Amino acid sequence: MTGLESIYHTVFHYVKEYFLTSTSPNLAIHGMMLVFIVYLLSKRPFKPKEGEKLTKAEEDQLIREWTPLPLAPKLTRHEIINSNQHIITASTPTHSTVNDKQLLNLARSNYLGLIGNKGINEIAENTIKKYGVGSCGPRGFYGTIDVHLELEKKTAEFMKSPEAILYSSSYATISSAIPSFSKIGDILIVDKGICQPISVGVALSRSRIYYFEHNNMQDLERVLKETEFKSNDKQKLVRKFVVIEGLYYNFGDIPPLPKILELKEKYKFRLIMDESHSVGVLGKTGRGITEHYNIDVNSIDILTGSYGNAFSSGGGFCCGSPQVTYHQRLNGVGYVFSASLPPYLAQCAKAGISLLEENPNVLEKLHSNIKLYRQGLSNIKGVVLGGSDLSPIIHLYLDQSYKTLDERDDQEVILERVAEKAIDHGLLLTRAKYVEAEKFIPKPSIRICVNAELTKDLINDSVKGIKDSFNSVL
Amino acid sequence: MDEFQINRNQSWMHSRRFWVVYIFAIIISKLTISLLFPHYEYGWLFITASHAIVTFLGMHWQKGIPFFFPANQGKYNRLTLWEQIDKGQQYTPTRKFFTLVPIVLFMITLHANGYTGIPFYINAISSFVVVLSKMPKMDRVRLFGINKY
Repeated sequence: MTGLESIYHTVFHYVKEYFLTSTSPNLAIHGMMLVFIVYLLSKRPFKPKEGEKLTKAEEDQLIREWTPLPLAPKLTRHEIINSNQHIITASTPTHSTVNDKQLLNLARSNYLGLIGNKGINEIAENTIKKYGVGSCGPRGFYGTIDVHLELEKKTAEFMKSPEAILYSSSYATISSAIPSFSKIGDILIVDKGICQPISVGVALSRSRIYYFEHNNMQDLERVLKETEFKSNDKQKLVRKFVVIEGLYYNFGDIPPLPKILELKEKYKFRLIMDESHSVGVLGKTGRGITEHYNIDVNSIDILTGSYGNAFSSGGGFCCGSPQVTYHQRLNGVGYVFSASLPPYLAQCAKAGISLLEENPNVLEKLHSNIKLYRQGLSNIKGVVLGGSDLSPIIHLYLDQSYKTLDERDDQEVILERVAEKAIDHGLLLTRAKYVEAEKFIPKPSIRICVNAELTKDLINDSVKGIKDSFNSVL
Repeated sequence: MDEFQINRNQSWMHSRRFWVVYIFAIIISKLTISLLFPHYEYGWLFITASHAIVTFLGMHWQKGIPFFFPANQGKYNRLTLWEQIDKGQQYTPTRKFFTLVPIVLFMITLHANGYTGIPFYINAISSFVVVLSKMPKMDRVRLFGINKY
């Protein structure tokens, strides 16, 4: 019997059994079901009326059970500690006025003391009179003014790099430079000590992220070995970047750049370096960490920096080869989609660079100030000094005896009390504040930013003030 | 329809391809039972009953949008999957199809496993409950307040 025949016979058998040989209940139930199916299929779609109203009792019950949620979520302890703020009403290169009281400001990153500089203020005023406060348009869209182009040229000359691109915010510089180069599937090897804008950029890139211990070259080499391409491997070749900072804001130390460049030759990766805090601070003429180590700036593929710290203006820049900068003019999100830098800030930044170029002695003053601070602060009881001797950022940590405070916030509370006490001594201090969601939050500390304009007397007074406020709290 | 208005909890149920897959899934599970236990006579009964249990829990018990977030701002939190189909429109092709499946399964089981005794009652009750739950009269009705909130 062939297959077709057997199917035919089976079907025939079933049909015959179904209609002819089956007995009473069978046909009746099946018939009913068939009628039901036909009834179902013949129905037209309709929309039933909205559900019946709730009874009074049900309504009351619902109202009784309802508890309103708060409009904003409850603050965590960390956020409450961080919410303490001071309002500054006036500023000179060294002091700020808070509540009609002149305080020596050691909280802001005004390394060269250009805030409140008379010449720069005048330039800002003149520029506002000429251009207004800004076009509110992106650079590619009615936003570009000659001062932007001049500043780009000036920055490239200053950094001795082929080209530079201007961003309107220093925060957006690194956080859009990284994602514009490193895409999905690429490899980012990141130092654990990076500050928040960089980690935002790293997260936005959606790349594969590997972390290495802060400034630990063995660990970096381990990660590089782990991610090395093997010639017989069938894996796709992807871009590989190492992300470091020129001067770590969260630690106040500098990376061993020559060793990293050695590894770069060996393992073949591209280097992204954020020099937001090292430009205008490190090196003989303030050209950053590359000058400090006597390294050609072109050996760093993507170098970003900020005008907001040493130059006391606003905005950021990215230096690199013409390809690097040109790529960002269409792919840097912060460049394409945000309004251009206000012209007066661009002029101020330019004036700041000019001032530094004319008078590199200010750096000697800065470094001698740093030395005085480090000497003065090194022997406070219960406090450990962090960072490198070159760094204008000095972190004051609580020492080993406070490790027993297992809650991080307990240490923060102590440091906050120190900062409040310091106001009585005429000092404006700040804790290093971090966002709670950061991946690797450094130890709690008080962060002091040294300023080149400080005189010896001011330094001695402030060191004494810091000591006294620590002694009275600890 | 705009992308954000689609209720992804039920949008897959309208696909004709899914219907074909559904039917084949039932047939294949029956074949599996027949192959694994050639002498087990209540294969169809087992299929009907388990189908009834699974679809009852999935379509008439579980409420809201369990697998997708954000869940349309709680719009469907009190509706079962069956009540979400076609935004509550009754007798649509999708609803007709999903009503027909248990009826046909009932008829097949009736034929295969007889008209008397416990197998018949299991078959009849499970199918009856599932089909009755799908009727327009039962739309947004919670008998005795069971599973109301």
